[in-house]
Amino acid sequence: MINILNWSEVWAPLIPLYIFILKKKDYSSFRIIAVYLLTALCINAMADVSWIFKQCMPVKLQNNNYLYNISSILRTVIFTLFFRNTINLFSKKLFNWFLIIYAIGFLIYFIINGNFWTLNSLLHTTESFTLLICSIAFFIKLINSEEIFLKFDPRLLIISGLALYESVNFFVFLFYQYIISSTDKLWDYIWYIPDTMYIVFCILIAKAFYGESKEAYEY
Amino acid sequence: MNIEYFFIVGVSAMLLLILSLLLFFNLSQRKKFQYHQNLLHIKQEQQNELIKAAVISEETERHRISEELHDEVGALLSATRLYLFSIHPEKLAKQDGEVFNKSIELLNDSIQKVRSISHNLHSGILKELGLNEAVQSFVYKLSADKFSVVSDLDPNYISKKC
Repeated sequence: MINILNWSEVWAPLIPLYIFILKKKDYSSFRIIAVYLLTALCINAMADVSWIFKQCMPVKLQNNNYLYNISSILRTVIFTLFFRNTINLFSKKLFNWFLIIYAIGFLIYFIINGNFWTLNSLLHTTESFTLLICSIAFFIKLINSEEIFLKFDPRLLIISGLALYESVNFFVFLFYQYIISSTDKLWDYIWYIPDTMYIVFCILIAKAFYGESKEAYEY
Repeated sequence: MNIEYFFIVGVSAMLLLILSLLLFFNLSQRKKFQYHQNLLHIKQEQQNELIKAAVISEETERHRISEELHDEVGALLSATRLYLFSIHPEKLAKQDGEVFNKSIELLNDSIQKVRSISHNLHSGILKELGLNEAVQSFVYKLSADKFSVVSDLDPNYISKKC
């Protein structure tokens, strides 16, 4: 059971990807999510495989943490673009400025600190904080709007999954330094919470893809 | 111990916040839907009331005109006919007698027309016996002509009295 959870980041994206390929519909609005799933699948698979075969790897690549950093950057960029293009949450300029500041800020940060090869708590916390704010703002926008969303809406499923996943990640990465330095056995099991939420996230994306194949949505 | 406590509280609070937001969103959507349904229902009721008021007003006006025609114009024409009948046409000259007969004929036609218009404006059958009887009576009248008309009415329909 624990092994299944450990490998969840590899097998969980396969569920929505399977639906995506199986249905062969034109997901014009959600193609970017499929790109994320495919890239995340590759990065996570590389991370898990490199962890197993770390003895055979060069010293610098024995640690797979840099792959999780890349995964976090990928998630931030892709979901920011998703919020910018599909949701029309704030003005597009704001998202563009955020992406520019995010890229330049972390580039300078990694050049100065040079700790890209270890899991960066700030990078992950920024990701969780940004995407959580966007998700909460999205729901507040819908609550305040005159429109009624009682019919199936794939955006709601994807953003609900994202919000749940990031809400857990936020505190996990906020306390990351303490978690890795702690000797308490309890913290070893803490990673199963984000792993479980990642499975929930992927299932909700799969449901969004499956639902959209039955009912076409235009944005 | 403190960090563990903050961590557990933090994660639980964040999860609870997101779940509450989702629940609140769902409830707000249902409320909004209910509100729109109620608004639609009220609008529909208002529209029905307006139509009903317009129909009642039209019916009242038709009834008034019909009564005026029947009681006023009809009575005047009948009185005129009575007066005309008091004339003895045999005492009139031949040409005057023809004019007299023609006048009586036209007057009878006028009385008949006024009665017919009055009946058409306000059908007693519709008021007293309801829509089904009125439709059947109309169909019977039409069927008397060269073509036949078939009606399919709901026998359980009960007309509302105006």
